[in-house]
Amino acid sequence: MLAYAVKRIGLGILILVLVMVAMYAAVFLVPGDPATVALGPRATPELKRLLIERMGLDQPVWWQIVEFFRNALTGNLGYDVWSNRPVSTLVLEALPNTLILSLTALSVALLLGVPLGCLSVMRRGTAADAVIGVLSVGVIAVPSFVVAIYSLLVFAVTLRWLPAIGAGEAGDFISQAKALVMPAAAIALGWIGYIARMVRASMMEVMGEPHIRTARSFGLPEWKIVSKYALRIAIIPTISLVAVGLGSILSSAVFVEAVFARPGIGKLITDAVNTRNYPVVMGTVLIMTAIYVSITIAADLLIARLDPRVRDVFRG
Amino acid sequence: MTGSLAASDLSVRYETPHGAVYALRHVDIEAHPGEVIGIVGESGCGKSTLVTALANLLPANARIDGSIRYNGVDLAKLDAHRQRLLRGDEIALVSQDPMTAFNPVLTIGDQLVDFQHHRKDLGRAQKRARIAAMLGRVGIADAERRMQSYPHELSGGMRQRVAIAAALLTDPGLLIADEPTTALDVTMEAQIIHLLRELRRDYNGIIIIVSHHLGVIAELCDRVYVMYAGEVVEGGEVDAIFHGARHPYTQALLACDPARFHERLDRLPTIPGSLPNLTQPPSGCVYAPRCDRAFAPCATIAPPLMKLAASHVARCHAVTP
Repeated sequence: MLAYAVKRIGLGILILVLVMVAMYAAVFLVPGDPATVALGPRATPELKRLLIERMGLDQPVWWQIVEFFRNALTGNLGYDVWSNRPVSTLVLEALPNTLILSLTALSVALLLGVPLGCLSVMRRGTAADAVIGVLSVGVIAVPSFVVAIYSLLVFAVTLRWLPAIGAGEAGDFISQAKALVMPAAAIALGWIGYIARMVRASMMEVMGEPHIRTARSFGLPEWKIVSKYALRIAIIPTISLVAVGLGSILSSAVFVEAVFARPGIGKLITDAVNTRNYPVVMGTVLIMTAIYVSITIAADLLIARLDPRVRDVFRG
Repeated sequence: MTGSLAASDLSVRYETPHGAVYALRHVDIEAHPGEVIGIVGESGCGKSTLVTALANLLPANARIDGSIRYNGVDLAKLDAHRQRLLRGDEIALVSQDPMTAFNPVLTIGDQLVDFQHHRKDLGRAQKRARIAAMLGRVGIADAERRMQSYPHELSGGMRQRVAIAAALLTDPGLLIADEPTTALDVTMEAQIIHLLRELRRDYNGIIIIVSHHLGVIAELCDRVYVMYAGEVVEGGEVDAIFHGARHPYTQALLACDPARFHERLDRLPTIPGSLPNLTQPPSGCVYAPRCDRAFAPCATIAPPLMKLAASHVARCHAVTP
């Protein structure tokens, strides 16, 4: 198990390096001079040269990458070219908002999606199953920015129940929670349906396995069979799905943060790309990739924890 | 509590999109406490449907007619909840394949504790103590450690022992073993038969053993029912059936038992022909198309169950007492 974890972490670091190499290659390959794009056609050559130097773009690409990782290892992710603030500070300021948003959305999706999937299986073939099925497919089909815009119109503009923009007053929990409702719902809605479908599908498969018949032959109540005997096996594909889907949850956070003008990583990246603020883009991408890779590793380790057969494969 | 079991005129059909499959037709069997009953027949003869019906585990598309009286209660008429309360309490099933019978992600001990859930009077520690004792009784050494094991860490024979222990833990009045040795190799099979023989000495309830293996039935059972195409074609004491079979199908089945041949054969003997289509069961005798003694009435008139001796019955026009 330990060897497996070490191997996965090593692989994760390799992925980080490859992503950053790709990022630098992209900047190098994109046609046009980033300084001209950022400063406009009428900037003086001195100003352009100054900007290029500050972003380190006058160095060879491989040297830029080496420098980036050397600095990153000491916790230095470079400096914002416009405000001169450390990128690590910017990311650390924005990260909690995005993490709270993504984790709230994910928790809501799991807390509603898994029981709905189980209910579908327990009531299979009935009206409840059909309603859950139709609703699930419906919410999967609606993009999160559509939910975001319509919920803004209904709950913020018309009903005035919830704030339209921002992340709430600092230190005021109620205000922060209210500001979280719509963005989280916008991201979670589709995932509720997705998880419910996934849980139902894998649960139906597990419910047909002989060991479920054994549990039934001992007269175990159906809810216990579903929640203990079937769910522990059926949840495994859902965990993988959620771990992979976290990338898409984080990217919907980018849109949703833009719609609700909510400070966060998404807004940080969009603003940085628009102003060609390369150090901020690179630093943020590194942190997001690191988060994504760690979640995938954590999910694999969780699966190994849940399924003793997987555990033994890695032990042996 | 132990009581008698009697299925009378029991029929089961499965509703499928291609029409109904009449898997079990007009079956009469009875069993009394202390008896070991064998049910034998080739694949598809309805023996699994019969025991599934006895264990109240038929799938949702099954329709059941007739009655299954156990302790004076008709199991076929009970609602799902009352049926569930009987399963794992009065009725226990040892299922066919020990490799897949247990949940792969829960420990043996955890599952066997759950299987005793009808025993509200026992605490978790007491249940675990009962498990350890029962595992010892079915011949599993190091029971405490085995309870911590996951099913895939146990061999097939060991898992079948655990399955038998699980059934015995519930102290059932009716113990059904569906092909208990089919998935095992010959050595394991012998060990499990030995175990079942030991157990029947101090067990007072009814044991029903399903098998297509004639040797298993002969070794373990007091009485045997022979099934063909969803019907019981002959039933009686094991000796009477194995040495004085009257139904042509039983005779053909015994003649084909590989255990009877000691010299090397190029081809194993078989019964010519194949099973009738159970979506449209024949109006006459189900065995008539394959029977070498079939005559005029066999194709059109279904033979009644003829009583030949005190407990010997056969369903054949050609057989007379």
